[in-house]
Amino acid sequence: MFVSIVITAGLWAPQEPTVAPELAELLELVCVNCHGGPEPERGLDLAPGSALSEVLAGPMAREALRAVETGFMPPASAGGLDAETRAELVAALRASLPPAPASRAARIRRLNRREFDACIEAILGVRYDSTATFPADAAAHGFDNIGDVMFLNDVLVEKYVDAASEVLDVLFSDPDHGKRIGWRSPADDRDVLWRLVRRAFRRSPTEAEITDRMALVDPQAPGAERLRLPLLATLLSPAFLFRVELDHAEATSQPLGPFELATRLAFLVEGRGPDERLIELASGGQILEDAVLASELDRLLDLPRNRSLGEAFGAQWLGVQGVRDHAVDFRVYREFNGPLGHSMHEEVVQFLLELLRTGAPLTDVIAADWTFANARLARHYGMTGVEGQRMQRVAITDPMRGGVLGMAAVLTVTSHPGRTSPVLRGAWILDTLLGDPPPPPPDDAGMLPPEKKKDKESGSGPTVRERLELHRAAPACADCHARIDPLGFALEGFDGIGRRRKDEKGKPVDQRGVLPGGREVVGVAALKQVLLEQPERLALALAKALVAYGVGRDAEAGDEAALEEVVRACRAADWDSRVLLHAFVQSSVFRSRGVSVR
Amino acid sequence: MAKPASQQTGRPVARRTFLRGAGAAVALPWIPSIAGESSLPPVRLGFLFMPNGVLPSAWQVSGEGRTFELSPTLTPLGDLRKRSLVLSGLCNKNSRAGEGHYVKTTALLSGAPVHKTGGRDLRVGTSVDQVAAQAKGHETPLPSLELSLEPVRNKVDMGYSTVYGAHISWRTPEQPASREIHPRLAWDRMFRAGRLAKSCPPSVLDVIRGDARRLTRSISAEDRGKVDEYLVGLRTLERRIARFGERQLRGAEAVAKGARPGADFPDDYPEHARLMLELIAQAFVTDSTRVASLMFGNAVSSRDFTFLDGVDGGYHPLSHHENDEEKQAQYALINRWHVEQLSWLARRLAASPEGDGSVLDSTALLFGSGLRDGDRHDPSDLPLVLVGDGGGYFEVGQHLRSEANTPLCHLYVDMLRAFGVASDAFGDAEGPLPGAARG
Repeated sequence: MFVSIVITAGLWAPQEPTVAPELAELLELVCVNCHGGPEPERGLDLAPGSALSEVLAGPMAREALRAVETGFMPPASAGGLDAETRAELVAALRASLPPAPASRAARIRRLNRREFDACIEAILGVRYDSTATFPADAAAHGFDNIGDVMFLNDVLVEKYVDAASEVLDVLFSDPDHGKRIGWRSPADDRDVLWRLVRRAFRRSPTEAEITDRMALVDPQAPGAERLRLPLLATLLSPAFLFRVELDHAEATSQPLGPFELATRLAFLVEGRGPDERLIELASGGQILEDAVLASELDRLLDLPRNRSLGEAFGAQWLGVQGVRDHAVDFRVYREFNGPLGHSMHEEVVQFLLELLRTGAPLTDVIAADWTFANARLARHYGMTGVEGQRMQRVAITDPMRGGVLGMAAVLTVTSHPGRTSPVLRGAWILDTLLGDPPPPPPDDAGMLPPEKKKDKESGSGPTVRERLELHRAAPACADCHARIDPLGFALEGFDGIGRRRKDEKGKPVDQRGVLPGGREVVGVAALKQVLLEQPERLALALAKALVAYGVGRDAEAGDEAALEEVVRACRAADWDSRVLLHAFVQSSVFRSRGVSVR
Repeated sequence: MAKPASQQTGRPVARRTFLRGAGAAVALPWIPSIAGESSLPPVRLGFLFMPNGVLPSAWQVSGEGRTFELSPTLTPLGDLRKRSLVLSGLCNKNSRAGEGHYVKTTALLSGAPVHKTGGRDLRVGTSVDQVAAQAKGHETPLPSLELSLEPVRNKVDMGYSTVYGAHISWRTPEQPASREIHPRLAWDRMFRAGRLAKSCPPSVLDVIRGDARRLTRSISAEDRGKVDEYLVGLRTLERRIARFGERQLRGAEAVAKGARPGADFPDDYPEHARLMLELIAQAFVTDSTRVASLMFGNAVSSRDFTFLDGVDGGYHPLSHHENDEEKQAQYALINRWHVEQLSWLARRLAASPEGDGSVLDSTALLFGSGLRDGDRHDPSDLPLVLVGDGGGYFEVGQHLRSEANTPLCHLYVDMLRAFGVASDAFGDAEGPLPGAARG
């Protein structure tokens, strides 16, 4: 007993953390001028001394690495940094990183509105539109299926009860309802229930779950309607409404069980629970095998019914799900209307679906020679030869189009109602395509003041760009905007609803941006070139979005190694985007459950 | 000056069947035997939120105390002046930090500081309407009613989740109250609770609870909390049905008389607003709930107000008037339209008899915005007016000018007391607002 205590104490005794001398030296050379002294910037003191080892052992270490790696720090206003020293500093910071803590388990998710409808339809063949009746689902990390913000109260419970009753009314109003659920006679009660409950709960039902439901069978009711209450109890069960993952008590992530993995896979690709085949493969445990998991992913991707990856995942990844009712100033953009907004949205959905399904290179997100359009959108783009209002795959020859930066949906949601916003567009690129979201503006940053009335009426006065440059002259703003704005400036050749334009306010548009480091980027084509040089950042950003959508929490330090592996696999396949999906689904992040908050 | 909306838009407001049925709702009054308490009519609290602040020069009333003149923006109150308490000098100081709108909206009814987040870990404070509902909501079929005219949009702006800007009512500091934007669905929640009893018998609920018990054994504590939320929701519903299912009959009667709003979502904004106000009126008149909140729009709403003569733009852009006289004039017109709505609701309640007087006699409607000048984003000297003396509690018919930067939350202590909830402190305020209560 005594001995074991001594050993334990010895193991856990805080060891004096030491800072590698090269790192301390580099920090002193590069950072300490601002992050040192009596009042270090942001309270971060990197001067040599005992506090430094503590800073580098804490969460700030990763933030610092990211800031240096992405070029945010040191800022140009502090003299910037040559590439060689930057690489050295990055390497030294990386080498000193403390081991990442185990990733947290995502909080339990209830079905969101879209998933609720899709599950009901898959199980009972009844269409229900909960978007018309349920409160909207809140979103986090860009997605509306994150447990942390899925509120649940008696209002929603009441909606569930109404929805379930209505769905069963519709089912039993069909004279052939027995056939629809595979019921012929009362002798089938138990089998039918077992099958439907298994489908609804996404796992084999327990004996008690079936027995409880058999007790609700109404022998007086005609035909299969005798199963009404057992089915109601199924559609209102927490086992249906929640995507349940069993907990574990380990200090590290643990592999999911077969049903849980099948469920994650089905929701990731199809936005609903597993189908019969997937459930079969889960009950036999085969789904846990790499090859079976891979072939099931392929099977689901190839199902023609499935739009979820484009509609639910894709549109939210690019943040364009709101384009259809985006606040557009109709006095400025008379051409914008509902059908056009719908076509814009549909282009993104179908483009991403096609990309992920066919395994087109991920770099097509940045620059592609194809997209989807109908006549309406083609006219908006100034393309010829597209007829009809059905979205169809079309070839692109215009160098300004091709890839998401030429898509009207993206260009519109990153604009203000009556004008473009190089800031929103630049921040969108940093966040979505480069995985480097800029910090939110400080609370006192203020807004770009609206245009003077006389300028607006006369169509003269400063352009958006000129007003912005005045606005960000303040040094507190300059460092971030030096990263954000040049990216957005390169898109000034598009107006606030994504049409090409040559001038603003009677002056030719200025599409020139200068990146931190001095590289000049003029126009969207040049910007695409810059982005094409770093596809691994796009791949990592996509992988992180898949974590949020597929696992239900933001990606954490503990996921980094696995996600880098995903990026490597995709690169090795010449950026085949379907390979990225495969690598993600095979990764430990997707296949295991993290550690619960205790 | 205060024309009904139909005259202002120049086109008729489609009346649907709803307003015609208002009489049917009046036929279902508060009845002491159901309330099971004193024979005095119960007090109702209404909270009407207007986004984007006001044009101060048009809002500010002249004179103080009992001798004051309604300002141009408050003109629509007309003879309700003697039943109104115009408030000046109140401040929501915890919402001074943070950005221009979301913080000032979401903390308006709690006075709590807002946690800056884009999604996870939303945190502000339980709002005063929900405190009231949690204390006494079990006495009515619905503890409270939360309505809005705009959907929640999922975005992050200036580092804040826009969920903040879409909610003034918070059940807990972490959980906003779901708000209803569809008139028909809100009406069904109030008057058709009985349908739930019919469709979902107790035996089904027992099976569901059995599932939950088995489930919660093997999930994490955090996840158990979520499943518990569901079970609590079920229980709340069940109790509500048991206690107030009898109202189903009266609900059916109201349906028969055409009081139920149409199934379509109203596409005309003024009509939508009017339907929602009528719902609050019906809720109060029938004593279906005694606490209601309504958001005319989300924070930063850019709603198109060109349906008003003299306005040719969106609300938020116009609120940034930059001292441009023409924009200011339009901004003030939009503010005044909101006051017309308040006035309409107050008159509707005043026209509904109850006991020896009207429902308005037992009501306090607080109307206002979370910031003052929309061009400046300052939550000091908030534009607020309270209509109805809350069952004789408030000293109405006056312009109460409090010392500069007096915490707004003092008023909430008063509102809770008027509602019959003992309260000594709320948010950042200790005690009631000097001069607000009848001496």
